[in-house]
Amino acid sequence: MYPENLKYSEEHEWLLENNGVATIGITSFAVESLGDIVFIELPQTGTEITQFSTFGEVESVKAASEIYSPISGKIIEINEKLETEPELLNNSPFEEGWLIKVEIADNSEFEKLMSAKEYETFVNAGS
Amino acid sequence: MDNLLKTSLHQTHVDSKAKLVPFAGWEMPIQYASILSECKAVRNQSGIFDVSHMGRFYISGNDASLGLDKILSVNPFMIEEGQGKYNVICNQNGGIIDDAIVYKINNKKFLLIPNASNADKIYEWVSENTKNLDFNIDVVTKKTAMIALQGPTSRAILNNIFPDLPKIRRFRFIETKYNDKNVTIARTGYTGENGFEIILDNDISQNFWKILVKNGATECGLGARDVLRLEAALALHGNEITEIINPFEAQLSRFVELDRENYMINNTLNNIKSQELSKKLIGFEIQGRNIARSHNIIKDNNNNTIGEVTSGSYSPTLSKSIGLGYVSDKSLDINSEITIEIRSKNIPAKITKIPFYKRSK
Repeated sequence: MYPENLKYSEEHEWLLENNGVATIGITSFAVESLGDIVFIELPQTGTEITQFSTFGEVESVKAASEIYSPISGKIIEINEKLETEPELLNNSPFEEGWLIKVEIADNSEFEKLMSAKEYETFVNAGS
Repeated sequence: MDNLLKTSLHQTHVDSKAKLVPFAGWEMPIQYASILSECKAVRNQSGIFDVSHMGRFYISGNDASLGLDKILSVNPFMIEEGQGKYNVICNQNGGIIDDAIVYKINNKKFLLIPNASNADKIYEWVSENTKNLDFNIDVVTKKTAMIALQGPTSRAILNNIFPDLPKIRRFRFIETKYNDKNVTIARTGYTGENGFEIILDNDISQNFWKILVKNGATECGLGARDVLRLEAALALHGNEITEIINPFEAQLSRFVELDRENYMINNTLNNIKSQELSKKLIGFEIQGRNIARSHNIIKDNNNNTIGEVTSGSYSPTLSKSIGLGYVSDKSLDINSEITIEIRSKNIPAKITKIPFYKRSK
């Protein structure tokens, strides 16, 4: 149900690691509970973010939600497309709806994240 | 969600995979596919909403008109048979207990539709204030269903189902038959779109709902209904109108008919009307795409708090972030700049004319 190659946080963010760079987004579970997403506020490139602290906000028609970083590091790219096409998050949360790319500061932080299987168990336990 | 009430359409919602939520003691669909697509369907074609949770009180007796004259903000004697009127029901201080539509069947029979969340309160208020009258209240909320069919194609859809349906003017209703059962069709709604609200027996509601879908109506939930009513700047009780807000502050004076001998709070409202209002309802548009939510603070450009947001949403029809709220600064007008505090940030906004959306005739 959740992509096997990603790592997950309890705040429903996902992370894809590739050569020291993490691509970060929010999971399909988070997207479904938010409903239609209409606005995503992200920091600028160059911003340093810390694991499990908030770095942005997602507004849906019904609710606003903060986004927490699953990892510490420096933002090197943001998904500019989301500014005009926030619906990408609803349509493709694990691919086209990615939020930011981060230069990973500390690889040991991965230990605090979940595998796809663990995340699925976590989600099912909560609902 | 076991102790929640279920409408007669509940199974249909489950079968259609609607997202169900608790609302005013009922388990109701908040959305089917998506709120935005449901809003679009209502603006461009037609949508249907299960609004069976709203109260339905048949009022009868020799004093039916007199009793309602005491309580409602409109004069029931002046309503024509077959006509409905929007009105507010105020407490002794002029605060709004609820807004409702009253339909006149004849001088001795009316149908009153309060909101789901206030239905019990209204029942008590009406009973209490009509004690010594020949005035009966028959609550048929759980025995009947109410479906709102809203959108530019709504009349065409009804024509397919009722080939001989006469023209129904705005805020008029007719009583007819569907499968030999009584059906009331009113030309009313809560979306700013042309449309109808249909009351029918529980045992034919699922079949009727499916016929509407077959004729092209999109199933819509309460989420879309809330966005659509906000675009049309229609007040929601609990948000724009409450027991501490009077109809003049809420810009509802056109629904208040004063100088009536029987109206219990005639003098109170006349008094309020003659004084300067302490606040007024405004519509605003956010610059940017943040969304204001109920209870966000409204400030002037000098960072002084001047009021509070009552409703806010993204408007899919206008592609803008819009909202309603009250401000104490009466000098503010259309195009005045204000600031909305959203999660500790000051977001610029400007006052705009309401309704935000008005359908083209």
